[in-house]
Amino acid sequence: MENYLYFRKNRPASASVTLGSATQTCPAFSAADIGVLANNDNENEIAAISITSLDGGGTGHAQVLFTPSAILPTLTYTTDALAIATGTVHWIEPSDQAYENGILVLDAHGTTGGYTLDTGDIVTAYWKTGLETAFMYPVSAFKGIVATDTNTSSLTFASLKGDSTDDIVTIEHANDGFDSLAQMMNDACNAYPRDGRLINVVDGHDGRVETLHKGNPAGITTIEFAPESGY
Amino acid sequence: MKQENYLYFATAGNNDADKDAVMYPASSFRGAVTISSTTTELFFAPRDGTGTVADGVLCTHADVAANTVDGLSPYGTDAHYTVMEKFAQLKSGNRMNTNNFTVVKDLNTNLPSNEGAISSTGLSEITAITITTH
Repeated sequence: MENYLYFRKNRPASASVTLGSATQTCPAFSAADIGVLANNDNENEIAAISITSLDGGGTGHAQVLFTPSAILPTLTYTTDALAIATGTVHWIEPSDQAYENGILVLDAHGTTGGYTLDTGDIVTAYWKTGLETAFMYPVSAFKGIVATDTNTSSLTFASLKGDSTDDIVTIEHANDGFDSLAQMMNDACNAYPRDGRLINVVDGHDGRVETLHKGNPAGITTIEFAPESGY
Repeated sequence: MKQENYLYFATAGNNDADKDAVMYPASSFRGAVTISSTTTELFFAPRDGTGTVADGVLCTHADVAANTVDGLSPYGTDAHYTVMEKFAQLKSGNRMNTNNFTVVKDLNTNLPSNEGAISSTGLSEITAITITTH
């Protein structure tokens, strides 16, 4: 029997940014909140987006009405811009917006489902499981682990899709955390030799990092997944 | 002879059309990954022998639990995890004294004959499957 190694990326329940100027390009979310920013662009990981208006701004900010009865709201669009009251919260459909490298770019109110942002507005995104958020490999696919610098290590797995390149899981950890990480991988691979179980190796859900070894002795902070190709 | 489980998947079709059903030896499993909040794909070594493009079984399961109050924490849903965990249990199941036929999901109940008590409709968490083969 062999075990199955389960990993889940760092994703928070929610994260917010505050607009420093009146632009539709939001500041990047914090890597401490959402994990590695590079290639963090799977829009289907975002369940909902809300905007809290700092000072109202009158009409001309939104072209969307929100039905506040579901986490993924049923949206009713209107051709009339809404009057935005100070401190009110409006929700927009994530799939209507752009998201790349941890940065949201919202459509302005002239576009269906858009919302024109103003200085001081707070944009909050809510995460869910999406493309490549979580993954598992059989132990037999594990090819090894290498320390690439004092606080980074790479796990190599046989590709899920089977082309010429391997899948890489990059883990940021405490300085000199490689030994602890390597020991944890050994234990994950060899635990329950008569069963064959799903082993939580690193789980970054809801803004926490939980590892197989309790207390996270390797000091793992982020986990990034680079499969051979998207699908 | 080494015993091995064989993993059976069938769509809601009648097992009479392309990709209605498929079966892999457990050793062909390469891994799984979430595709969306409602889908997880299981990958297997392709049957064509090239090893270049994996076969896949895309499993549909429950979405995140609706939070009608404030929309918080949909990310913590573990529907995909349950599917992965139960799949691992099925794949690893020690089936001594059986023929090792393992139904992961059967949506049409047209099971092969003579499977008796070990046959089932598989994981209840999976509500639909899409089979991709090469």
